[in-house]
Amino acid sequence: MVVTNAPAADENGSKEGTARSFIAASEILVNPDIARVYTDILLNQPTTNSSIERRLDLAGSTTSMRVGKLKNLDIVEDVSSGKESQLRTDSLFLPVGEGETRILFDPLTIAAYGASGEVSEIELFVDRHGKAKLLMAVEQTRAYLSGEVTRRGAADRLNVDEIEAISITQALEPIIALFVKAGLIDDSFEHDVHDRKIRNTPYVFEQE
Amino acid sequence: MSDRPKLVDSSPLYPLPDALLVDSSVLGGIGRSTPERRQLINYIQSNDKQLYVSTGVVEELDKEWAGPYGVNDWLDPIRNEDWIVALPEPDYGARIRDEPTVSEMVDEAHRELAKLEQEREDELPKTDAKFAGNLVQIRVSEGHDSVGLIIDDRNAERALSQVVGETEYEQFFRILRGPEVLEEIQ
Repeated sequence: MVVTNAPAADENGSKEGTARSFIAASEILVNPDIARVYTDILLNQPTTNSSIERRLDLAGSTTSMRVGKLKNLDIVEDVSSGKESQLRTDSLFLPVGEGETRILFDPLTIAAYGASGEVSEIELFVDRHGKAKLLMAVEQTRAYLSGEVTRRGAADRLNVDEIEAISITQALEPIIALFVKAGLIDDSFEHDVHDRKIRNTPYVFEQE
Repeated sequence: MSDRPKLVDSSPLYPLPDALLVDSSVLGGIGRSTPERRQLINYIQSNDKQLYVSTGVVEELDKEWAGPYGVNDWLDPIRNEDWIVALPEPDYGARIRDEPTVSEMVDEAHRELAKLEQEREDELPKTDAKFAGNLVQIRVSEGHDSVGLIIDDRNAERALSQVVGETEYEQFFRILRGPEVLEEIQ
């Protein structure tokens, strides 16, 4: 089952709406460039094409194309008819499986995939271990920030080299910190993330 | 809230100890030919500091997939330059006066880390636990009065601080946070 936090009446209880959200999540998860634009809109909505261009350092045509793709997937919409479109989106949650093997693709996971084209440590991790392992790494990074595991302990749990677990948890923690700052996840982590790291994320959260 | 011990405050940065044991969590994040790397090397050389890496850290950096010079080429200076050197295997019986031996420090850190991660203690100690012994090793065999460990792992830092804090070694050893050190020396 796929759930968005969209209150749209035609999606609640609609098989077609569920299918639409599933397809949107699937498309976003296989395309890091689209995932990055989706994440930027989620962090900074409502926002405009020109603001996305500036924050992500993209060409105008590239931004338009990626936003257009998200609009075609019905996951981004215009919310004003002013001079420049104001874009907004919803948090996508895609739970898969049941019981102990249940996993959840959520906006944070999408942000991690979105960063894989920009952050060499994430790109290398995905190249060596695949996208599925990246989801596990997001979980372990949350556990690290919650004080439950060392980075080397995460290596055991992920079944990767110590240096890889160190590197991937370091690459993911500022993205998690940014999501907390934006109020998109409410984890009350034990550890803060040093500003030095947050400055190096491929995302920008512009507080109002 | 958890029932874990209260988070330790980070050690004051200055003055940095002359002997600095540096973890993979710090070196691995510093790329080749980056300003950060030049700043670190410059700071170490200009301030008469000495960087040390443990055998565990060398093994972690020495990965086939990372190329002949290891992760971010760190093996090259470790093998060929004198401002960063690899420690030999420690004398596990070494100690200062009647304080715990290298071996006892490693065991205690291993217990503390296993408790944190809710894992079995009969696993072999990881590099993190061995740092507690490496600090004693550097003090005893390298002749430095004070030794710092620079690490970017808040949970390992907490466990190691607790272990060191329960001994008289506390006056000689400091656990320093990697991002704070790098920010300060740039």
